[in-house]
Amino acid sequence: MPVILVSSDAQEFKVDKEVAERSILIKNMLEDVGESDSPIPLPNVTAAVLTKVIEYCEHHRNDPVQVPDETDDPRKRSNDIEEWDMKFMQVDQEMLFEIILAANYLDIKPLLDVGCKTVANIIKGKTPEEIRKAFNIVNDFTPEEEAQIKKENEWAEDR
Amino acid sequence: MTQIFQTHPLDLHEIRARIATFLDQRDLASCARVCQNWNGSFTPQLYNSMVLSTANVASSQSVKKYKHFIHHLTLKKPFAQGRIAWVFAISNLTLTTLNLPSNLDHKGDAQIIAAALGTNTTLTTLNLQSNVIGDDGARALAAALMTNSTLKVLDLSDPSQNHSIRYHGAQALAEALKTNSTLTSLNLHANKLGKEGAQALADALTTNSTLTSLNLRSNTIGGEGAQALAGALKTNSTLTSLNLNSNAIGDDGAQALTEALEINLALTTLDLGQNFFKHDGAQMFAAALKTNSTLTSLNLSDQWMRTINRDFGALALADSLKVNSTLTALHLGGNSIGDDGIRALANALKSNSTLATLHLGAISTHSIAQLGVDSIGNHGAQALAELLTTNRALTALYLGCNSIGSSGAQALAVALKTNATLVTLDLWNNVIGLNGALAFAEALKTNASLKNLDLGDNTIEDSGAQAFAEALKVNSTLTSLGLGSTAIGDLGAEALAEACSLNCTLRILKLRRNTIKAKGTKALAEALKTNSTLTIWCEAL
Repeated sequence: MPVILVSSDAQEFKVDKEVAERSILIKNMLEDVGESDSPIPLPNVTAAVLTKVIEYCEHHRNDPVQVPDETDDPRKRSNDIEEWDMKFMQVDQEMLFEIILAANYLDIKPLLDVGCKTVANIIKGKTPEEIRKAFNIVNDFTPEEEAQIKKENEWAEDR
Repeated sequence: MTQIFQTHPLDLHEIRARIATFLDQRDLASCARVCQNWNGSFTPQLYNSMVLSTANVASSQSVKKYKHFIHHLTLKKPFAQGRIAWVFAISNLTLTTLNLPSNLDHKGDAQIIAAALGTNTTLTTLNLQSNVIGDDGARALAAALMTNSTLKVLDLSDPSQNHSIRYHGAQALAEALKTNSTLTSLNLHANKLGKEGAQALADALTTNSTLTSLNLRSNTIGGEGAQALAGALKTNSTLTSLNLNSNAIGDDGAQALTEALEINLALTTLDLGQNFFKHDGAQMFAAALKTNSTLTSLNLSDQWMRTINRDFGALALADSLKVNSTLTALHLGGNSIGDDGIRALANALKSNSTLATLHLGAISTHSIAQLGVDSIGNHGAQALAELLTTNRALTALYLGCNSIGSSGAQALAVALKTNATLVTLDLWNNVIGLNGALAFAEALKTNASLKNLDLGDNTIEDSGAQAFAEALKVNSTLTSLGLGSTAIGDLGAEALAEACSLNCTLRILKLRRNTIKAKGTKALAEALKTNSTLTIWCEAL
């Protein structure tokens, strides 16, 4: 049975229930209201972003439900993005961040992870200043504070 | 339509914290310096796992300041200030892993750790390898284990033989094991427990039902120690891995252990290498393997069987492999098994579909010194080659330090053209010569299963290396190639370098102890610039 999703700019999207339920938020909403064909408003997601999100959920409709990582590996890998996801994420930075926000709001963990891995890959190998430039962040440390942090974390630099 | 609240995901702490889980230490340190908010999000992940390879006042201070974030702390080597760092860390209740190899430099250090461990409720892994522990330290740690109920893994191995744990330490640990019900792995490798120490631990194993792994390698427990442990194995149903390598157990110990194997239903991994079993010992294990259906890995290497009858043990074991369908790994290296023994083993494995790893190479320099090379020759290699054309279970075959020769190597190489199961083949020091090498290079062009091939210590020379270079241009499966000490010069190195800039599967290329000079080294260094996933083992690099 299809579900109707309504974007913030009032566009309607008809998707399979199974696809919509990739979003834990929507899944819970559907469980709460029970059998109903009234449209689900998503006031935080624009049509452009929702189109991308639905594309992702369509492709991953048959994925097994993600189990929480049992292994106590503190360092997850960001270089294991599968090919389709990698291509899917080839968007401009604005769209990348919109997708991350939507995945966070709609509670789609695998999509959120792919988004965060993509950002991690942008960060890799950059100096603090390069990171600030890449994401337009203002340095609010005093030179003394930054020097102090650099000194504290110096151990992380040598291998 | 403009949104009223323009949220940026990087302004959200939870998003930054999630990104942090995908970054390594170096990048996390950069992120922590971006701005105040980022510092708050990336610092906890940065300190989650701390590996200190050098330490100074600053890093010790950092351990102190951020100790509530530290879950895993490793001090790679001893250094001044290191002590301050771990003393801070262990007093803390977030730590789950503490690795302190060779780091305790004061005699009372083990006691300090033990005192903290007694009340600690978070630590699950404690690695105190190569430290000054001794009987006093072991006693203190044992006392802590009586009250501690979180620690799962304790490593007290002492490969550098600093200050060994002897009988009294073992006895204390054994007492602790009678009440402790959390510890699953205890490593006492290379201490000096002796037969009494082994007896005390055996006694504990009759009541303990938590320990799954016990490493007593190199502890001179002797036949009597083994007999005591074998007795315990008759009732213990938890221990799955037991390492008794290098303990001078002898055939008396072998008899007791094989009797235990007929009853025990828990043990899956048993290492009995270097224990002076003679042909009786081998025959006893052969008999046990016919009835036991739990053991998956058995190491019977380096028993110096040559003086008795080098193939006798192999023939008996071959007979067992025809009926055994549980064993996946068998180590018989360093036993000087000859062609007759190998033929029997190869023949038996035609009907065996379980054994995946077979080790028939000499491993320790010790056994080489004692016996010279192992004695598999051309005929043995032919039998193994024939086996590889039909067997679909073997994934790893180790034949290092035998003398299969050029024809034997060629037969194995030809077999690799049809075999699609073997992943690892080790043929170092086998006089395979240039023709053997050329055959393997040719096989690599079509084989798509082999990932590790070691042909070190064979005379392959530049033309052999050039052939491998050609093979590497088309092969996309091999991840490790061993060509150490194979008389390769600049020409060979240049050819390999060229191939390495095209091949993107190979991860390790071993080229130590060759005659590569400046020109070859330069070419290899250039190749490494374009290939970031490859590591070349070569003195000059």
